[in-house]
Amino acid sequence: MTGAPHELLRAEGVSVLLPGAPPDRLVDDVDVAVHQGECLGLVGESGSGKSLLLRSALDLVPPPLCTQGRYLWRPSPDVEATPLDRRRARGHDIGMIFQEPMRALNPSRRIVWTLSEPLRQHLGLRGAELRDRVLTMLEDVGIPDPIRISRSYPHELSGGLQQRVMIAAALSTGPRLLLCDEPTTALDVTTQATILELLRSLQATRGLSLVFVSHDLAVISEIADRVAVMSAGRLVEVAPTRALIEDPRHEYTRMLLDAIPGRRRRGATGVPT
Amino acid sequence: MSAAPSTIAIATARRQRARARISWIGIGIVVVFALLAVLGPMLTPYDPLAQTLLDRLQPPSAAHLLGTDALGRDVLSRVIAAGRVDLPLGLAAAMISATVGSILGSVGGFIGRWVDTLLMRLGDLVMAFPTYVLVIALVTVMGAGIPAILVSFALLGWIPYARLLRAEIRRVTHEEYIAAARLSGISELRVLLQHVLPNAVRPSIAYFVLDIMMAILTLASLSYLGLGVQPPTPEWGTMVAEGQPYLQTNWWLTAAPGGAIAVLGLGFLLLGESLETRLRG
Repeated sequence: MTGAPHELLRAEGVSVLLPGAPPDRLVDDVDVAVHQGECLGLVGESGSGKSLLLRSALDLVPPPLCTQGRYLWRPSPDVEATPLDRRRARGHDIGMIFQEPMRALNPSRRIVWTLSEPLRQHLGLRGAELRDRVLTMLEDVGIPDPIRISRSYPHELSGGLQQRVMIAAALSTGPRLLLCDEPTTALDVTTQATILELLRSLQATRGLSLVFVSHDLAVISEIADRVAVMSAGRLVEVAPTRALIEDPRHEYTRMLLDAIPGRRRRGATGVPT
Repeated sequence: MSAAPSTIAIATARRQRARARISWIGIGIVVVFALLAVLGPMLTPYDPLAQTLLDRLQPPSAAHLLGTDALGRDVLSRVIAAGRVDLPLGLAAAMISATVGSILGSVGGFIGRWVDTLLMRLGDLVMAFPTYVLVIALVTVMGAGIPAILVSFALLGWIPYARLLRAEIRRVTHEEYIAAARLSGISELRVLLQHVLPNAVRPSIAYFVLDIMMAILTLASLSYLGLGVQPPTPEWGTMVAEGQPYLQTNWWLTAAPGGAIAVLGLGFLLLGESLETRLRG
């Protein structure tokens, strides 16, 4: 099977295994695709394997875990993306942001250093050009005082600012896909809303595709075009966001929806069983 | 209840101030000894090697503040001159150990797998021997003197550095910012040098300061046993050994170099401990 033309990244039969006899299948035989320009939400409870699935796309699963199956990347849909390709894709085609921005920024380096490094490495920028580029990047993610922020250390910034810096870093080399691993979970609700707003506008202005992992269906429903539901390592349902919320097919999706406070119970109102 | 937190706060602040004062004492001692070593020849009242046999075994006096030894040499001058031997040698020994240990620890911690296992088991093997026995054996084989001492320190002293750095590297490597750095597509060597090491090196720095002290102690012990710095070069351990026969009558011959080791050791200890608590934060 080859990816359809509108697909950017497709996972085929991807499993993440914890070696053993028999091996634990933490992610179990998942088929899912991200389309060009869309935001795919990935939802499920803690431990359902959604973060691992995301990381396996970049070959970032922590050892001793290992990945099976294959990833197809759009420019060469016929060719299997090997672990090496996935690593090469880092920083070029795919960026990633993390749940706790404080832990995802090198604590002993100033922001400007962290943001400069990939530019220096990949684009060969130096001096004033490099500094201007960093400041532009910070402005692009809505940071009000880029000069001051660029001279700060991560611990001097608020969670929201840290996450913006993280997004700037992930976008520094112009990826086409941004993987977001619960990027708003560690933030308070108002900051969460501004970060979601930022991601939405980046998606629109840059034609960026997103994969947005969250355990929170309320957040997912605000940003995702389609939602994939995971439970115990398996993909149980993929549907457009609206359809999924109004007409969940799978029992587990219904349970997730019912778990949102203030929402009317749907179990009784009758999806045929 | 409302009074309790403020009492605790005051006590904590007091303890912090006391700790700061203690660390300044440590810094002060080390700086004084370093200055004495650097300015040595300008400060010594007599030539530390000049023998005046008529003035042998003089008690402390205005002319000889710490008296003279069995060959009539000024003890104060010799204690100061010995600092020019012990301090740089201790520093050099610690630096060699730190360099070798940090390289091996980084390689083991970052690469992991069999490389790591091999290095750590090798360390266990060496550590299983009593240190002094091994040093004495090595020095005996290579011949007493400074090169043999530095080599044996390098062969033995790397292990704590390797273990410390390896453990820290393994911790730091699991941090998300390392994953983020890898994601930005930079080389693994740059990830190690620019991202992992700067965040893993703190405990090693504190240990390094303590290690200088331990290196000086080991050096003095070996010299005391006649395996280290050879007479007539003034060295604290050698001086203690030379003064020992006169311990009953001329105690200052041993007390002066012994005191120098003890005070400098205390200085490094206080400095190292305050660094350790500070770097942990």
